[in-house]
Amino acid sequence: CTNNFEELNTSPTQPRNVPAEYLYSQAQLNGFLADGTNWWQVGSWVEQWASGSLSAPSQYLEDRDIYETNNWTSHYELIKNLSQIRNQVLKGQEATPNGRTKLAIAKITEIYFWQRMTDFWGDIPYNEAGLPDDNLILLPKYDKQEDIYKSLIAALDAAIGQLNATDVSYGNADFVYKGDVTKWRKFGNSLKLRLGMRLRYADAALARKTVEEALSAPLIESNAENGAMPTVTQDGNPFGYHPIIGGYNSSKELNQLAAPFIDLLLAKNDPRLPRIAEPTENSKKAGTPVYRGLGVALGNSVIINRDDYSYGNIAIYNDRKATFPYVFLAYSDNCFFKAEAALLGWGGLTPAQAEGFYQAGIRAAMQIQPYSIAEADLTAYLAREGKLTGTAEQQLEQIMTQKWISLFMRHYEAYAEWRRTGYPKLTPGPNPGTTNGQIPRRGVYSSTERIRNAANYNEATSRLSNGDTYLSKVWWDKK
Amino acid sequence: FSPDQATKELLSQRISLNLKNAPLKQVLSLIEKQTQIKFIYVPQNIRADRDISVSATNEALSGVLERVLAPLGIAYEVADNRIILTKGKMSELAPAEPRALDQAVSGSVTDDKGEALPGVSIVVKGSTQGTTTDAQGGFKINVPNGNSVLVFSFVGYASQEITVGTQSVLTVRLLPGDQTLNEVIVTALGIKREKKALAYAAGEIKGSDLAQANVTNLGTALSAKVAGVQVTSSAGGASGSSRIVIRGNSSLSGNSQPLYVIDGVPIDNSNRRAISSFQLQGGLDGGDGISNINPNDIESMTILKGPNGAALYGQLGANGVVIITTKSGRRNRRPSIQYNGSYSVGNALVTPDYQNEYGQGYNGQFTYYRQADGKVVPYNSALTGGVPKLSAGRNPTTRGSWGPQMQGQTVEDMWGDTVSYSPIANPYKEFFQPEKQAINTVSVDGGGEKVNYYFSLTNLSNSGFVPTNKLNRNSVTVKLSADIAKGLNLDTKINYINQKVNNRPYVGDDGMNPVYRFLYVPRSLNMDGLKRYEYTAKDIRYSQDLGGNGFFVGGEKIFESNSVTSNPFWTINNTHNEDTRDRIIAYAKLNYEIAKGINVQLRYGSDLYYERQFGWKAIGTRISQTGDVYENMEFNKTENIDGLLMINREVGDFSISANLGANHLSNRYRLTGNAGTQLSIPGLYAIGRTVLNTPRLGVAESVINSVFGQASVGFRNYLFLDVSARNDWSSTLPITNSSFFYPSVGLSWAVTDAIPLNFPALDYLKLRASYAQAGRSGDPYLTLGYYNLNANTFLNQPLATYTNTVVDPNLKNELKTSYEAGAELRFFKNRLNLDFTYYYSVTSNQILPIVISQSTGYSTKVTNAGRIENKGIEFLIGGTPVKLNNGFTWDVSFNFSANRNKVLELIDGVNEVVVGSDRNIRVVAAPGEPYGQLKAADYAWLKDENGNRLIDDKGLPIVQSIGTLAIGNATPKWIGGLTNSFSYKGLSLSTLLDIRRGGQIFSQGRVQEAAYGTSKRTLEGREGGLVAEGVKARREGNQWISTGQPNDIPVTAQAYWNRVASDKGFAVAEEFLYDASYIAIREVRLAYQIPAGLLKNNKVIRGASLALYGRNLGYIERHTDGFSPENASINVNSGTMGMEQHSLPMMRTVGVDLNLSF
Repeated sequence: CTNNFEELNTSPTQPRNVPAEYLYSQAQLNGFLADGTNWWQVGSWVEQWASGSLSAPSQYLEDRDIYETNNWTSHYELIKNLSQIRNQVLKGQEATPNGRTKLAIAKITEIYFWQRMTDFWGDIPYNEAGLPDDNLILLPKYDKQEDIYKSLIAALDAAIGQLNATDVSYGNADFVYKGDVTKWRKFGNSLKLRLGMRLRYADAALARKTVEEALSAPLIESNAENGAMPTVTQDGNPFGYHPIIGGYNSSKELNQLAAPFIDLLLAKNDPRLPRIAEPTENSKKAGTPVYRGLGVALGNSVIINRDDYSYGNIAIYNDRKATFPYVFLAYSDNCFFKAEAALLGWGGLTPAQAEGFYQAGIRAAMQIQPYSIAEADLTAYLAREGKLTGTAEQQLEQIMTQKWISLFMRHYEAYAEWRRTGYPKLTPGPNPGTTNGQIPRRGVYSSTERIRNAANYNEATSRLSNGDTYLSKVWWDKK
Repeated sequence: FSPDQATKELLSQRISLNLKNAPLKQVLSLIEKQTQIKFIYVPQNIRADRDISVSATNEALSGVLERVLAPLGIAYEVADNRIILTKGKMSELAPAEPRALDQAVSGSVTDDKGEALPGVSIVVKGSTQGTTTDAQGGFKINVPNGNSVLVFSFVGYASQEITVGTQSVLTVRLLPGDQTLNEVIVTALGIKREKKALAYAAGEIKGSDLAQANVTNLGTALSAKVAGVQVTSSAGGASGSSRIVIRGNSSLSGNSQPLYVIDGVPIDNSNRRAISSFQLQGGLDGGDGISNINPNDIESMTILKGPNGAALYGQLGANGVVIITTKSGRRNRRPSIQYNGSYSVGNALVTPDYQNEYGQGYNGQFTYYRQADGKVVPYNSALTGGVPKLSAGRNPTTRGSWGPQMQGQTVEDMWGDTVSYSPIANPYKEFFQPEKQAINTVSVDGGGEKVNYYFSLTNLSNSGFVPTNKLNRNSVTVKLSADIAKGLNLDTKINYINQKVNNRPYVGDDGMNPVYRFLYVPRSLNMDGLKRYEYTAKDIRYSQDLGGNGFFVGGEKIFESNSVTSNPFWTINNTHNEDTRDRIIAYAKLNYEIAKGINVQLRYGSDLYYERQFGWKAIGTRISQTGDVYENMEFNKTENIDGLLMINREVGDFSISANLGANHLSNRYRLTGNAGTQLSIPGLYAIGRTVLNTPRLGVAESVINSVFGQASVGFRNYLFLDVSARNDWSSTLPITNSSFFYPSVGLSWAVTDAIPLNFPALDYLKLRASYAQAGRSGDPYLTLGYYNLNANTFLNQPLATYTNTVVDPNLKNELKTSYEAGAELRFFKNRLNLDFTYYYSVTSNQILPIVISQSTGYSTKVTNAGRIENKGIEFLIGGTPVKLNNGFTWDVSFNFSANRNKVLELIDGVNEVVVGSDRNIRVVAAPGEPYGQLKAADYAWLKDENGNRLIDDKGLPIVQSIGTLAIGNATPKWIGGLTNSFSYKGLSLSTLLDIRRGGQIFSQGRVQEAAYGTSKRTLEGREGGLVAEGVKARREGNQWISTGQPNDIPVTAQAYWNRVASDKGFAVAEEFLYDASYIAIREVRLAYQIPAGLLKNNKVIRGASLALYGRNLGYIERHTDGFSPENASINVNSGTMGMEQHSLPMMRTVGVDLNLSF
């Protein structure tokens, strides 16, 4: 009676096994580009975008159901899909040339995502997540961010140590470095630099140790080595667009630029401004184009004419055929970190060296697409803005302000660095929201966690100073 | 034709007999030889061995039977080709000697409708003398004298006694009488059984009742007709699905839908294009399997309400079985042609409670202002020299109807037209259109000595409430039964259905759902502007003053700038969807009578269909700006092969009926298709001709093999013991768990047949009890984890993800255990009938996709989890309160069912199973709670311990962020149906009330109205403000402390409603929860049967009737605002119960139908 049942009950359309490349490609595509999608939440909190009243989080209102649940779910699915490589596809190949380096690259990629997650939410399920499906923990515990960071740094060291240039790599399935192991080593070390510096105000000793180790290892040294995803045009492709372009096209109203950002660019006469923003529609009509940013978190009842405020540059961000790489870990990041380390005298650097790194950072940030600032403009800008002056703290503010501009379109990182250092100084918008008018300090957990993983959720929430709200600070947010 | 007529035909067969002192059984056997009938009886009960004498020459069977059986106290009942003989009530006829006959009487006999009744038995009371009426209903008889009493009797009619007196001509009208005493019912596997022997409750609906409903989807015709059956109609209108739940939700997932079996063959009832839970989703209702079935072909429907009746269907029957028996022709009957036509018009039964006082704007003002210099600025009343400008924006500030009073002011609308600021023309008149439906059926049936046949052809065409929505369905049925050799009968049927649906309406949150759109368009919108649905350069120029984006000339003209919005007029003209289904439901059955009472039967049945789905959106459609086109081909084949050995034996006082069988059921499903976007050539809608193509492929195959046995042992025809056992092997479970067994046992006792009871009014009492189990094995491919390959690549690299569902390699079958007990009572010569049932069932080891913490990387785990309990009572009370001699009859029947449901347990660590969800509302199953609990999510009022809302210092209620909060339940406390029918001569009036008590429904549509101020509910406080009910609170740190003082701070209506719901993502659910109780006038039908006398001279038309009917005419009671509580949110899935989401209104339908027989 059960003849051929086993065959019959095996799906003829879905595989039970796939090459590691398939999973890895998908993870890169989903994971790296996701850095740029969250402008209506973190992008407005860090005051580069002002999406007005249309997105609740931008008004400092919690909306876990849509924003957080989707964000949480897609991140943990990302971790699962990467974990399948070690849990199933390359299991047993940890020490072979066929598996070792691929697993290491996948691990470095995973650590990159983990950092984004813990930076955003704080304590999250970590040790009990990413497990194989036959050994799953249905109710994963939330780990402390402090422990997660320590584990990530250790895991990153291990993964970098496992990289071997003669091993089989991902080749073209690796959109970022085409399987170039040397570049992955530099990426890994740059990520380590970032992990370490993030802890500066929370665990200075570990921060210094991690930063100094990273500084002594090969790092991304030019824009050519940037961690960057190629993107494709919207015409003829179902996905893989530049996240800012993709987002822009769906609803223009969600994509107005924030006043603090535009004001700063105007004040510095920044040559990137015309490549970032569009003069207001009404000023263009009137024949006197001006840039004007929209206030953040204005609340529901403020009535504005959107055409009095700048959208993103239409030629760049509203062109279905436009495409340029999405940079998610840049040479300029390293420059600014080095400038910061120099101010601290870490890794044998001296405060006097800070300005050089600072200028290199500005230069690198201006040279990437879509800015590609001409050398003359760059030199002029550096002549105006390239000096670091004042106390170490004032110099840090200058560095972080330039970094903030450089992190435009990289909302999670811009938000993390603002929270870490407090620079640039941002003024909250007028809407009280659920924060009493303060800029959120973290993302709230998914609404489903409150129900499906209640005990662990409650335990994690009890550790937060203000409960599971926008106002609680993550562990490293100590300044 | 009607069953009554078939019976008449059967009983009018002529026989000749001449026997003296022969045993009764020999008489019966001789009759069997001369006719196409079979007698079914227990020899002891009717004392078949006693000798009798009878003589008849070419006399109607009915007359002979009356003459022979009545004096012996034997009652008979016709069922199909069988006549069931039972020991009747004490004989009223004392044997007497024949006397001299000297008075001649003649006359005619008709039925209640005035039609001639052939074959009526006429007996001179107290004698064995008698005759039968001829084909025209006429008779002639001689009686001894004027004191003689003639007894007129005919099956299905109450007999009448008439004292001859001096009359020589009698006109007798027989009225329908009790037909139910020895009713035969079609049970599992198509086995016909005496109702008396059933150990469980079974609901029955006559085919004519279904056909008379004249509905597009057969499922919806079941409303309120059978106790324990709850029907919800689709939000997608006539072409959508129906949700039928029998005895409560017993499955924590899926749709709890019953199995539909037609002529013994299970059919596919999938609603594959259904939306399982509608959060942020849209789409359309692709209809379900049952919606294809032609009600006109149905002879009868039996509803087996759970495992107790359906054990023989095994796992498919756990949610109950709807057994449909289609019409057949009758033997020895001339061809009869029937025509049936109906035409109906439907309109919205309930429409939104729009307010018509305040138009677009915010804070009681116009939002923008076009200055004299042409510049648009935020509105400021100080400005002069220009006109108010209505916004094409998206914010609540511009989309809401919170503006000034509409007094015909001159304003500029979003498209730059100068218009009057006045109420929008009613979209239910300007956009929607009356639904029109025509059904035409022609059928022919008849039979010869060895063959009988049935043929029908039906066309149904429905033009829907949403313009361009059309459904056209043709159904052809040919059914043939023939005795091909001695003892060998071949029975076959082919039903071919061809259905085409054009432009199914989009439902739920779909951007293209017109109901959704019209719920919140500003109340001052200029409908004429919307009707010109393509953008002109001017429209765009003026729209862009406020930041509109992505508009181009010829593109879809919208009134807001949202990227997922639509203009309904564009939708119906520039987008398209269609599906064409070709379906064949067929069987062939070979029955061989090995020996008397022993039959073997082999049956092959198949339900297969191809469905082509095709659709497109033109370039410029707002939600698909580059255009798209899709085409899918679906194939589904359900095959059922079974063999059955049937033994019917009588041994002493016992009768045994046993069935042994084996069954093979397979299901194969395949979908191939392609979805393309970015049209290469505008207006060319063909797949593969687009820049971007995504192929689709779906396959599902499963097999269930079974062996089963069933036996019923009867003792003296009043006590019956039923046992059944079945073992299934299902391919969808792991091999080690694929075999599972389940039994059933039941007892039925006709008390009044067994012992004389001294209740004068009680005619009949039957008690029954049963126990049964049924298993279920779930969907295929749930035991292994798979990777999903992305249908597209990125930079030529294939992409894959791992499943989000954790599978269980040790999955086993679900098991539903059910007990039921009941009683059937009849009083006052069957004028009052009562049927009562209590049932209790537990479904355990449910195969459940339980949602798990997404931190695992997975969203669901499919495993055996959870037990759910259903218990309840059902009763049916019916009778004939008034029955007058002039032919007036009032029949009434009320069915009632109350189901209590409780989730007993889930798996460890899982607090609840979310059955369905939408923003701010969840439908859940949680241990200790009834299934279908409604929970608010995310936001709730902050209240004090007395339940008063706390009000902040601005006068607004305080919202707190919550996980979930139970606020109600979606399941009713009880449901019922009340049928009243009145008949007088050829005229009859029947009404059906559909009643529901208890349970709640959450309305997403009302959230939308509140957020944008379009409903009457938002009018209070527009001028002068409203004071929100609650208690003032003050803030201490992070806490709100009640002051105990009632709130007295007025706020604007806009501020209040924006606190309750600023949009769908932010709403306090309890404010949109409604009592779902209702009493609906479901059906009213006034019919007139043309008297036979009028047609006497018509050689063509033999019978005619005309009826006026209405469906969903209104409510006697309803508690919802602007929507029907019994209208499903989207479709049949349990995930959408208890929630309304901009459903297409139910139709109030009025129609006429005409029946002619030739």
